Amino acid sequence: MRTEYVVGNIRIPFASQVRRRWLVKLVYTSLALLLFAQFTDFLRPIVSGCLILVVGLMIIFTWLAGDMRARGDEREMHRRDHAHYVAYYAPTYGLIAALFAGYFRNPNPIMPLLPLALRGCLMQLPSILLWATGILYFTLPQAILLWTEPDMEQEAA
Amino acid sequence: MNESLQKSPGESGLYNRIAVLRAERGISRQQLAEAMEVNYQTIGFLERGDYGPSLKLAFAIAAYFGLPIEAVFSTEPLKPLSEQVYGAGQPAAKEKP
Repeated sequence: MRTEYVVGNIRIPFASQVRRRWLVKLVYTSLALLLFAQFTDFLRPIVSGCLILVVGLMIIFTWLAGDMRARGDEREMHRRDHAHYVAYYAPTYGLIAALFAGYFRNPNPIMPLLPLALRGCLMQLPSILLWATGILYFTLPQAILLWTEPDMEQEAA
Repeated sequence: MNESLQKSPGESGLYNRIAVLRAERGISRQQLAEAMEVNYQTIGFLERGDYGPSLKLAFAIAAYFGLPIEAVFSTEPLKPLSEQVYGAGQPAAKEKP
């Protein structure tokens, strides 16, 4: 795992766990906003802005976590294995939730009883859940790694 | 030297003398990390007891310092090396006439 993000001459330190946790929170909050915006028409204009933010944050996010498949030293391998192990179940729950939400896409007795706006949301729910699951599948191990690594040292003692 | 000894075993449950030995021999974390082929951060985590090394790494570190493994790692709190080698470190009792 890297301890700073470097762009040209700019170095943003991420050795502190608190700072890394803020990044993770920011990434998932912006992703959640992005997905939530799909439900509502008035939020759609912010999607493109949010998308740029998400892409930018994801670049920093993946850079810091490093290549999760690259061979590291034994501690790094152990931490990555642990992160993958912890993240393993999340996509499964997402898929199950998407399958259940898929019920509302087919003709069912509940839908006619609901307000029109809610019906629209429920129709979109399975695809949004699938998107969220896909995002979690690719990002959760890195997020866990960034979240759980303790404060690191910036340079060799 | 006593100040450099690990006060608590950390997450690993192991006490070690890596920091003391490194300071004693003037070896930087980077140098030790390069010799052990690990990240220098890993040496920091080892020293603080936040990471328990594999047997292979523990033996490699002990061999690097030319010491038996039990002189570097222990499940019990470690005494200063001088005390362990030369005794309790108390002044010799005077013989009564």
